[in-house]
Amino acid sequence: MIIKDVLFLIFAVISAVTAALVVALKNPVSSAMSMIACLFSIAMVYFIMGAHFVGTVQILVYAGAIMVLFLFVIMLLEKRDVEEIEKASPARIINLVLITAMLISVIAALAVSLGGPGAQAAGITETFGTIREVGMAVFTKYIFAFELLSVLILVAMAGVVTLSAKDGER
Amino acid sequence: MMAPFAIDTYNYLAFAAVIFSIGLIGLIVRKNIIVLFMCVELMLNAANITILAYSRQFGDSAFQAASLYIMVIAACEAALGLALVIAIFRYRGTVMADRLNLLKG
Repeated sequence: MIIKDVLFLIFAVISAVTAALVVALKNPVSSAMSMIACLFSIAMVYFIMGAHFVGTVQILVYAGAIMVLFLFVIMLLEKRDVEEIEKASPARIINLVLITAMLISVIAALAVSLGGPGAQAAGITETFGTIREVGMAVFTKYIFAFELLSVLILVAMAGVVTLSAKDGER
Repeated sequence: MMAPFAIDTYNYLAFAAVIFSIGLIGLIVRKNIIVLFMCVELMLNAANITILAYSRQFGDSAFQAASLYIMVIAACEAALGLALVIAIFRYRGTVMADRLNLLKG
């Protein structure tokens, strides 16, 4: 158990740092690279939580497909305009303070409602998070949402083709 | 006396809150639309972490189906958003959110 805890801490720190790098780095390609690292370490956290299948899908779909899509789009756009991040406008400082306050209050509320660190979780069975269990949930109880999502993907595909075609090519 | 320190649902949820806040800060601070999309993805990932934390808390794998569905929706959102970015770049020649001020009057 203690190995899992240490691994969780390591990957949580890695993903928080790389997420901060996504925000902090100026070059979008660097942002995308640290985003990939962040998604990988979040997938590791999923593995540690026992959600093996979701972690695998996270690596395949997010780090594999979606981030490649992002990199392709970054490549397609010329690097014409440089982003200047202004540091200290009053509105921005107020925003940052508010978000930090939100984070602190969420963590405090969690500590109050869950009894702080070390609250007990339900026992995890042998089959928890296996493809079989998740597949049973997807293809029996939640089959309607699954079919709706396939329609959603179809609509998204048509939308992407329509949006990115040039005027004469539609 | 042993186990002074055990990772549990609280820690997972706090971790999700941290990731969500980083994404939200990025959404406010940055101007490049592509990076804004990445920040949205970060926030969706935080939602997934929350769902999986409760899946683990209750020992129920069916929660993980919801997390997979969220991934599908995130993929659709990224694809459509990036197509919009390409269209915007074609017409306006920029991907900076503060220069897309057509509605400002």
